[in-house]
Amino acid sequence: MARLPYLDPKDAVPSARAAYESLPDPVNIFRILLHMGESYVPMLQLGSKILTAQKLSPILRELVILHVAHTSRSDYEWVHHKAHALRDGVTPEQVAALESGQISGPCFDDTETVVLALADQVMTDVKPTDDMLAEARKMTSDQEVTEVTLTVGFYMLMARLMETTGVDMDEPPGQELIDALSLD
Amino acid sequence: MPRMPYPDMDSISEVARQTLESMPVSLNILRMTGHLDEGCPALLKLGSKILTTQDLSPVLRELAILRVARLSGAEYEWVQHVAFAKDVGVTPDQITALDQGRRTDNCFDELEALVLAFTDQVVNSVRPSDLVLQNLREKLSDREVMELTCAIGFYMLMARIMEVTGVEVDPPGGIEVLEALNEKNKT
Repeated sequence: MARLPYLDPKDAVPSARAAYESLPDPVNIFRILLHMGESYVPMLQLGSKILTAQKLSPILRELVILHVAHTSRSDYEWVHHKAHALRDGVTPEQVAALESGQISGPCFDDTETVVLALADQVMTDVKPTDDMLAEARKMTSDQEVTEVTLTVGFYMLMARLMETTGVDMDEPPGQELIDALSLD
Repeated sequence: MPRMPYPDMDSISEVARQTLESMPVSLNILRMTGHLDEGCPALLKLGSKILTTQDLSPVLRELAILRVARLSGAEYEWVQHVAFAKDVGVTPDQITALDQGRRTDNCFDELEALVLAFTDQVVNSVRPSDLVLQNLREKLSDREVMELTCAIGFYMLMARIMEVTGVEVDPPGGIEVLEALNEKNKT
């Protein structure tokens, strides 16, 4: 049982209700977030941009999200993004490493190792060290460094919404739902 | 000097450039988010909704944001939000207490102290305790609890963008920013 009750879509603000009703087979998190009022639509749209419109590669993005989910002890985020990550090309070995808290090792290439180290510092310390930032900027563009930061912060936010509400676990969604989050 | 250069306005994507040009104020943090391409308008829209459309009282929202700013060591966030906080009615005593890292002080009423305790738990532990959540739900609606959690998480995210990029502190916008965002929301 969730810690906060789910909101009946008809009791949500009209913009949130319309967005929710346009989603194909929405999973529980999108229902419990209906409490958010006018922030519901931009929240979904920001998630959509992160998942579908970044320069950062899908594999790097999902590695970062899984590390945030694991460190935040958010089972819901972990289970849903494990499915997403495997679909996008993260290997089972990489998932197993992240599940045991490892962010370096033979299953990660140089770029993956640097991006995970950056994500770890941003999550834990807020401000990465000068050396870390310089290393990341040598490996990748400023746009991608900023996108890693956005991804870390957004999934820290999502983990907090999931854990505060105690949203009930359900089956991870397919790509069709992810594509619909743009609300276009 | 920031730690990362501001994006070149002539080479960022059209959607990011138009978003920044349409903002009612020019702030270094807004300019820096131009690096995010299509993420830029989405991020700024969420921030604007948090600041202008919540049921949660602005005083409770700004107390939580100031606490997040101090826990995160984000000076830019602190300076900008001290101005917002004063303008919406957070008292000088409360700002001083938060500046010194105190969240239980007789300048905070019972609900304010509870919101700050909840903020600490959400920031540090992700999942607030059953007791704190239950106490908060006796005083706030579920929508307000969700909005508070969203504000905390969003300003944790912003603190990270500020500290990674090292955006330079500029004069805070205060109430004029909030009023301009309100006006923009109507159109």
